Amino acid sequence: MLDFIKKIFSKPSEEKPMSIYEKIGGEAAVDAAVDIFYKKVLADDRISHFFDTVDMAGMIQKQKSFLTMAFGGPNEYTGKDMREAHKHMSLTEEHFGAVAEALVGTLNELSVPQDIIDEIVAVALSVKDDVLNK
Amino acid sequence: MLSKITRWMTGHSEKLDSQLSLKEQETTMPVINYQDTEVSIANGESVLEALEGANFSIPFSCRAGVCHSCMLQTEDAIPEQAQNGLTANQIAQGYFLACSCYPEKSITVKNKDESDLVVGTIVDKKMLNDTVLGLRIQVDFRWFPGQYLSVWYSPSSSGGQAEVSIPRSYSIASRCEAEKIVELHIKRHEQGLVSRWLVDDTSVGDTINLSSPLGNCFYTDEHAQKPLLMACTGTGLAPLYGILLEALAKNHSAPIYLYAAGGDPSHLYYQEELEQLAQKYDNFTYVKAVRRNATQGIIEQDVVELVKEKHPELNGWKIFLCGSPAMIKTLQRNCFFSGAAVSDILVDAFEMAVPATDK
Repeated sequence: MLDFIKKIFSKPSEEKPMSIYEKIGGEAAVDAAVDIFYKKVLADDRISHFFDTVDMAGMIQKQKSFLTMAFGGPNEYTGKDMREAHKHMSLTEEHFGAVAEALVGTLNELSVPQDIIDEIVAVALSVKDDVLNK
Repeated sequence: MLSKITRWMTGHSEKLDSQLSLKEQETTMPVINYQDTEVSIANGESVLEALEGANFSIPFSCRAGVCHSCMLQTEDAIPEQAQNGLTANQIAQGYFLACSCYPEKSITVKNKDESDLVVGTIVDKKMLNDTVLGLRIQVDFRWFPGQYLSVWYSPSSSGGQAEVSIPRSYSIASRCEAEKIVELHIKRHEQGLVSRWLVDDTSVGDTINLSSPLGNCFYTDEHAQKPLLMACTGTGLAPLYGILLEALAKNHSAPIYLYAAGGDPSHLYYQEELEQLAQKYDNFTYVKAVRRNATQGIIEQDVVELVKEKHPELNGWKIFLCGSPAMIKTLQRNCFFSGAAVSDILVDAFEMAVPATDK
């Protein structure tokens, strides 16, 4: 994926603007990111219990959905969906921060350029109030 | 007819050909068969949209092929894109994503993991150790060894009053061959209503009620080149034994490791059979582990620790784990951190019924 990103960025983009999702390689980028991301959240004591389950395959599918959304890929999630999915977890700022750290750490590990990381973080922040049920 | 002549007269122009096939499609609009209802698919509609249009409520979330919420199952041919991102095991079972499925032909679909009630006939009963029964049942359906099915508690001599039917899940330890005999390993629990009935009260020749097999934990050809790691406790050996027989029958060439664990040596079974297989196949290694009273040839160590120690690097491996949820959770997590992809870890967690534990 790193090569893919480099290729994209060495090419002058005179055509129609690409979404972040397209820029970083679409589904393949999500696949590359999800394992790294999942290892990070499982290793973080602040949040690991939300992710530690026998149904690891089901959990990874949820992480893929999340990353696809954060990367601006195809999804139809609404604020209401986000609220519904998280409201029983009593999440705090600390939890949200830990997940955001894991996300940024993952993107850094994949050498995603800073301006794209900023865009992805902005997407994640846009659902913060819904996730924290504020 | 007219269009046929036109085509003949104008030669085989590609454009006309495609128009023609479009016309033919329109005249035979594909239909979805779902829950005994025929739902026609309008032009450009997905299976999800068509079923929603007919007032069926199918779970969905992203509607873009990512979240897998709208997964359904079929035995018919499926457009490739509707199985994008699914695992080989899901594809083998005919799973597909309703939101990304645009069928050109009629298709019969059902909710995934919906199983049918079927009957089987007991053809053999044999104790495999002091408490585990090997039960062989003649059936008339197909399965992948490693999948599980439910046995419905239905004692034949219930003396008048109808019993409440109770299902218990057991994994299948035999290959699906011409004679179609499923082998289940039943651990007899002192408090287990269903297991005591199966071990003590059933006889060869009895018919019993079953649900058709389900589950993702089985061998597919996609595994052929990958080293296999299998670990289990107790009757978790049943699905792994089936998977092992399937892999060996398909000439699996990469290494295969089986870790069979139990509390003490009396909890192990099929030792002779597995040792013979290990002798016959150079690529197969059989390891026995117990927590206490190990005898010769058996390692006294926790199986989770043992696997972690012996397999620090699992990148590219295919892993099968069967047993209690707690053991699986730890093993699965360790394997993931040792480099295995989550999609390469297949698990069969034996949830215990409360209070009558039966698996």
